[in-house]
Amino acid sequence: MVHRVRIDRHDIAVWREQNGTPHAWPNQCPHRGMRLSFGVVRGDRLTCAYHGWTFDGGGRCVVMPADPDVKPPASTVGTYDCKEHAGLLWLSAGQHSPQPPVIQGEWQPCRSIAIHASSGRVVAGLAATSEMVPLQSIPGVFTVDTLEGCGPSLLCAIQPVAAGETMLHVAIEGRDARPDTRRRGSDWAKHLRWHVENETADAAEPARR
Amino acid sequence: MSLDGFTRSHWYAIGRCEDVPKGGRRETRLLGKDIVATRPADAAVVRLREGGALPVQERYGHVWTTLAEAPRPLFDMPEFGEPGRRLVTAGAITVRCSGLRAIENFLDMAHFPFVHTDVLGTESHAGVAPYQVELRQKSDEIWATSCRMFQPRAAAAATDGQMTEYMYRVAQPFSAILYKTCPIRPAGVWDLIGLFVQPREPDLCDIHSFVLVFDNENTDVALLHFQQMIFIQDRRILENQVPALLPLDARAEAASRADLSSMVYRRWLMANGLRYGAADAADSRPGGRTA
Repeated sequence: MVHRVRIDRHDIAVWREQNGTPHAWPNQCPHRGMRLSFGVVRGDRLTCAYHGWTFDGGGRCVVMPADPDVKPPASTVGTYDCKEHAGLLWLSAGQHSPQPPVIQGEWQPCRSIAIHASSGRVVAGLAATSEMVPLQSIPGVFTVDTLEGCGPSLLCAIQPVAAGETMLHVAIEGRDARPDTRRRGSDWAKHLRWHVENETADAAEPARR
Repeated sequence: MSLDGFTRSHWYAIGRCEDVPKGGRRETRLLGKDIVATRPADAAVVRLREGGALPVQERYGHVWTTLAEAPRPLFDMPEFGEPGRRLVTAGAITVRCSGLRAIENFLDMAHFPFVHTDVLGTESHAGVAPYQVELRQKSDEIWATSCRMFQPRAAAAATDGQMTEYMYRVAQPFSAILYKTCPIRPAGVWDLIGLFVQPREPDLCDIHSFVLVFDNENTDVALLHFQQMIFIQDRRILENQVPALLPLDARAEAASRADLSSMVYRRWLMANGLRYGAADAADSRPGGRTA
């Protein structure tokens, strides 16, 4: 399974090797431009859906099925830094690549949710509804004390997708979050989405009611 | 985008003859212009919506027009005059891509095992044998010959896998014909499958396709369904290539030996100054302009 991820104008194919190693590549086969997010993963390789060009984890083409006796080009697909940390996948898209994130504590993935609003509105909605603390080292990442002090904190990472589209990724504190705690985290995210989509607005973008 | 002379100089199919019945009207778009086709009497009439009659001819089951005042002649397909052949046309199908990408995909055999799996190709026979490609100077057409591919189910009339032989002909930048071993006739008799692409915008086209075959078994509907099955599989590819426009610069995309047709096609378009539906260098890089 290959995921398509968009971050601003970057279109990215994200996949895992069978052993779990994650990779993030430009979503464009170097051969004929097919989106690699349509490809398939076999073991530790990604195969493009168009001509079956197959790439190893380093982004090197290792098989060109139409030309089995021709040496594949030495160039690679080009890769983004991609790292799993605190229950979430992190990748750096672009020049201003920061240090990989360091977030203290144990975190479990809880929910990723698509919000029809700019990332600025999502931050505003978070600030209006929650006790949130920005992580100084990473823009767009916050810890939130949602459960009124009587439960674990949430980790919120904001991914700007496109104009008026944002993904919010939520992880939950602790090594073994109980199902009902995860459920509350998920409900919290749904409530935040409702709030952002209905109760906040950009200057140029009236709230959808 | 201004219209380059090479693109302007050709004829384009804009619908089947029966799509413009007597007293009927078909509104469509060609190379960024709104056009209207009608049939007040026996002959089809095509004009620009903004005014001005355009040349018309009806051939190969389709209505053709051109924006050129002195167009190149429409290419010849003598097989349309042969008795016993059946013509099945699919009608216009709109695809969100450059028409050039559609033609290039049509010329490509290497995708059969992956896109038309177990129909036109199979992964255990994915190798594309070397084939010849030539630019025929007299007609200014590209021909790829000696193309061979193992096909589990080459046509609606095929029952078993067979080694299918092909010839490809790029008769115009936006029109291509495939000549394919006829499964029920002796060697040397070809079935024809063709694409007439109508570019609406640089990154949007209507594709008109036909089959002209010897086939005693299948109904027209069965032949159409086979074509549509293949086409739907291709459309998923065509609408997900980045950029949607075709890069002509040989350095823009990686290629291998099986891509010889594609490389000659791109070179030929570039040498003729074609720009409509072609990518700028900046479009092709990851993170460059995307759809």
